[in-house]
Amino acid sequence: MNLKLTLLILLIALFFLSLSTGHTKASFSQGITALYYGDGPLGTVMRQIRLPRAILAMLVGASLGVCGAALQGYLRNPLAEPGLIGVSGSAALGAVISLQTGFATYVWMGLPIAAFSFATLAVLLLLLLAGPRGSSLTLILAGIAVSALAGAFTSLALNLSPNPYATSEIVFWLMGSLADRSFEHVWLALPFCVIGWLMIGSIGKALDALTLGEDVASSLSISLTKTKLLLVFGVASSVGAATAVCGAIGFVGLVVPHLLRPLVKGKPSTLLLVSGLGGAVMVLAADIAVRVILPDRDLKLGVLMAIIGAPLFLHLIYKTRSALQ
Amino acid sequence: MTLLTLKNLSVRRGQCPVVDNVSLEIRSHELVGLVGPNGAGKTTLLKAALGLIEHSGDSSLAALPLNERSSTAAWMPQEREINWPISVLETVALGQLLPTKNLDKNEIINDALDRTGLINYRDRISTELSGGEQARVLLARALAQNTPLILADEPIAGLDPATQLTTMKMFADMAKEGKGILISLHDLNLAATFCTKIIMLDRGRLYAIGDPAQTMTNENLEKVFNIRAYHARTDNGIICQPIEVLSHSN
Repeated sequence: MNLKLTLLILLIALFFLSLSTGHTKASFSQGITALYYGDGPLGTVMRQIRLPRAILAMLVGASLGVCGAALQGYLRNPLAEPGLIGVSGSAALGAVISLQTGFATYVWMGLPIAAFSFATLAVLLLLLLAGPRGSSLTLILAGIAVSALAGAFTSLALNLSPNPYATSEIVFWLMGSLADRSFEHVWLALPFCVIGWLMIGSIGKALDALTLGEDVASSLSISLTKTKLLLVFGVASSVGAATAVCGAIGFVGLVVPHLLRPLVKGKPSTLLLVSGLGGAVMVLAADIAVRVILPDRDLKLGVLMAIIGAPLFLHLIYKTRSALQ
Repeated sequence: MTLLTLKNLSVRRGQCPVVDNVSLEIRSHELVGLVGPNGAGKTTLLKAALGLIEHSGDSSLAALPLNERSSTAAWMPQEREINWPISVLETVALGQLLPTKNLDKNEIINDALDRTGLINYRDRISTELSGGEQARVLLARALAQNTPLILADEPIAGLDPATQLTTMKMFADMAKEGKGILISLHDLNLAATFCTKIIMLDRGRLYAIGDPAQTMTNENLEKVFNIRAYHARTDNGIICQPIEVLSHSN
């Protein structure tokens, strides 16, 4: 309870901090007043640039956190993350193809729509490969295959890129960022994120039962097929939507559940909400950091996440390793 | 009261029958020991009875709708799997994931902890316990399901002699109280001493079924296990101590 409250307070504080961070200089109170009443340029900046950015950071972070915790619980593997089942990679491929073909330029919201469609396609391919009744190990293997395929086609798209400008656009998009997003992005991602969270929230008990293995869960009246379908579609819906609007952001889904697990004593269902809050806090904080560290250089969120996330992850592995010895 | 009925239950792996046309019944007040050499099909039989693997023939348990399974039979597999560092209390409480109707959940959980001698372990982390202690935690978890029928695959394997004896005694007591219990085990002596009924499997087929004195004869042991045993009758039950491997194989 205390942990959830702490994270919630931290989240609210970071949300307001995020609103008052950026190029346009304004005091905190000026900004907040402009958010509600301002008609001038500051009001526009607050409402159309900073507010959607802060909301998206929370949506994306929460989705990655919840999905990471759910996947780790389902696969009973602390190294699992949303990227593992190929959803992020396929969403990225969709985005790349839309940039490459001009679909992103000529169709309203073309890029996120393409990314999301590919994420859904990946899930269907995944279920075709692993089968709806297959074990968790088959799901990991099928996920790796789907990821590899998406990676290969992404490279092919880059390889065949018509001009250097298109290539750099794709490369920058792949790095993942929340800059220059609008409320249109929020409205596109929000419903899918929420649907995904609800689907994953409904399998909390099943994840707890899976702590003791698939056979015991099954003897506890848990339907493994239903659990897997809800999980896979939940992850596709929320992470697919998140990747569609801001590109691939790694490590959040891996590190956040890992960091918070010891604090909630490990039970998978209790970790879901906490990890969602933690993910939102982490992405929101990182998105503030990219604007503070290099205000004039458009440091990409995905790049910063990887720079922070990878060493953090190594540290966690090192700690686990010494605990096992 | 009959708690489990298997009728012509068979499991095939490719062309090879692993469980071959087994029919039997488990009633309340019975502690049934499932014995047989490695590869006789004990685990497969238990899993098929639970409906966890594909089979032909009928199992009254596998035929139940999924939502009634958890209130009918508890299952303790041979693999002792606890994946996350959760407390003993939380692990055992998973037995009441779908709470028993009209009964106090905490009372059932405490009773399970009490029977397995884990009351003082409540707040310990399950994954930090020794293998034997984890086996007791998982056993308590199965008891906490509060079902009339318990199926356990080698629940006493790897336990020290005292824990083996207390566990078997606990099973016997629970059977006396009215539960039906089906366990597989390799310790023929403990099976003969504590079980009210023995099911002897030989290469997937039901070779013998009945009370220990009828089934654990040297003739059967010779045929199924290729061993000879020393038999004696004591106040505590029958002793059946394997003493010799026969040279010829069957």
